[in-house]
Amino acid sequence: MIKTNVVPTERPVSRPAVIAQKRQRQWTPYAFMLPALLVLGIFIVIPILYAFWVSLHRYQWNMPNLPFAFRGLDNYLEIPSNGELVASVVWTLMFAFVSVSVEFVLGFALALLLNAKAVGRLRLLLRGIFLIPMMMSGAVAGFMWRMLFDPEYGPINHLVTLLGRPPIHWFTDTGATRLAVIIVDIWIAMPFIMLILLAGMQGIAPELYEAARIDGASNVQLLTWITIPLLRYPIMIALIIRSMDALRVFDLIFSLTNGGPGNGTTTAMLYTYRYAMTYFQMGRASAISFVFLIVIGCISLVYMRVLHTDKGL
Amino acid sequence: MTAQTLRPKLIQLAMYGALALFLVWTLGPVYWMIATSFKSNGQLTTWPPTYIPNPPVLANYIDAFLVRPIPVYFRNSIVVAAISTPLSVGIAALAAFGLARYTFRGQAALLFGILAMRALPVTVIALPLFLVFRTIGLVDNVVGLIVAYTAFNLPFNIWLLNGFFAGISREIEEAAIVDGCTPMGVFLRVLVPLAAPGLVASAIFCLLLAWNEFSFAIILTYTGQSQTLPIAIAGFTSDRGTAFGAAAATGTVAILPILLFAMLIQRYLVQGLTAGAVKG
Repeated sequence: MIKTNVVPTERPVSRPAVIAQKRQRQWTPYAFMLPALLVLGIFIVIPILYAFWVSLHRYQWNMPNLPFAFRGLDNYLEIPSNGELVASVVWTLMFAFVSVSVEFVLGFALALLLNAKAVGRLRLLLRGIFLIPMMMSGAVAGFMWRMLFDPEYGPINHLVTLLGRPPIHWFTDTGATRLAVIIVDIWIAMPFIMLILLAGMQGIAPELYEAARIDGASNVQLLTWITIPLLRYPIMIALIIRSMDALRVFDLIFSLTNGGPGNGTTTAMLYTYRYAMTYFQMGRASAISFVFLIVIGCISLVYMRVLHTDKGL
Repeated sequence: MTAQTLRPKLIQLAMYGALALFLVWTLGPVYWMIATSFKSNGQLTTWPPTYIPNPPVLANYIDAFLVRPIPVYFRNSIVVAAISTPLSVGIAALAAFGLARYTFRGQAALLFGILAMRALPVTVIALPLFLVFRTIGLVDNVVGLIVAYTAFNLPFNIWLLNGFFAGISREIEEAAIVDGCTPMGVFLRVLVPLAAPGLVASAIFCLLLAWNEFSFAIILTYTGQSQTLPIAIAGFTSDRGTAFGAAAATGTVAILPILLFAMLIQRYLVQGLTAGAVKG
């Protein structure tokens, strides 16, 4: 936490001055935070409260003549019976689980590679290159890969045919399209995990490894007994942030598949967006957003629990 | 060569091989988009695909920037990034100073609340914001996007700068206070110069967000009057019969600043993202 002790100054401070200082201290922090609190309050907190209010109503916003009718929790209660929505949530969870797992394994491997002594001075240059995918817009990345996956003229299907396999029906076969989406997400987000874990690895004192080597530890033992235990906190942060982002995935899907074929790759976010902006049903869309908010919150809590108590990790 | 000297060599070779694979995986797609942007219409639809545009042509750039209204989207992106970034960093720096240098009731709860805002699904904020902005004329207006990005960036910036300020020694500040500096004076004359790297880091995050953001932009804007580059690029693909060439040219120019400054950006990216993640 933030330290607050004030070092006594050399100068003797008069009583009124101390009082003035104390009084000032009571309001100064609030004065500094006022602009931020105002902006956050007006543009984030109030909209959230308003969204909750809207989620309790039927609100067809393109038809101003329809009443803003109170529905209680009906918008929430009908979610489980909305088959398309449930399917999109299941796909979103599947997508997040598979993508984050693969990103974690590959990101860890790449971080280990970059952390190796042999990489030396190239480390900065390589890290900069590997970070390029996460610096660019998900919409651009999605488009980029759409060209690569193009079933007729794309280089990926060319490689597939060179390997003697029939071309894959990217964008028309649901399974293949889902795989494509996961591949692109791995491309975009694996560098993030690499970055966090590499920074953690560089913070581990080399003496620890030297001491363990003298005691005859193997490379695998160094990894399981020094690197991984000391990386617990970065691992937790990387997994939480990535899981939250994967569950909220939107731009990449929008420009890669636009949710197709059919609704095969429509994620919960894209579904919410469509409800709000294509079907104009703000009440329902807001209710879905709130359920989603709760799901994301629960998942991050579970991670924190698991990683804090599991000493073996 | 004995087995003992051979084994480390082999391991090293495997390592370099793996790194090379990762490099191809990372840069291959980027290369493909850049190459596509220089292909003629005929080269876009060949089998096997054209790996090296020969001869490279500028037709797609002419199509995107002279025939299609892509420069307008660029202007919007630049305006939104240039205005929302200093606003968000400035407001966040003030707040972070208040958080890092004073104690007050409810501080821990406030910090937690600010952090929690980062986890919100965008629709929870963007949809009601859309409804409100619609009534006050800020929908399909760059001002609306500027406001949205300024607010949306705040929690992360406050969190990042709070860490930076907390890491700066208090002695210089205390000397300034003894010499009669006001809290605002301490902030402007002492902390801001000392925390310059942190300010640059948060500015870079804001610039990247404004340049790349999609969810707010697609909800809050709908014409070229206010739409930004990522929307323009997604728009290319949601039409049937995508104009791959023009879209690739637009995409190439959109990622050009990132490719040019990747080395510079990465330093701040690392500082910003690892500030809270690695310290433990």
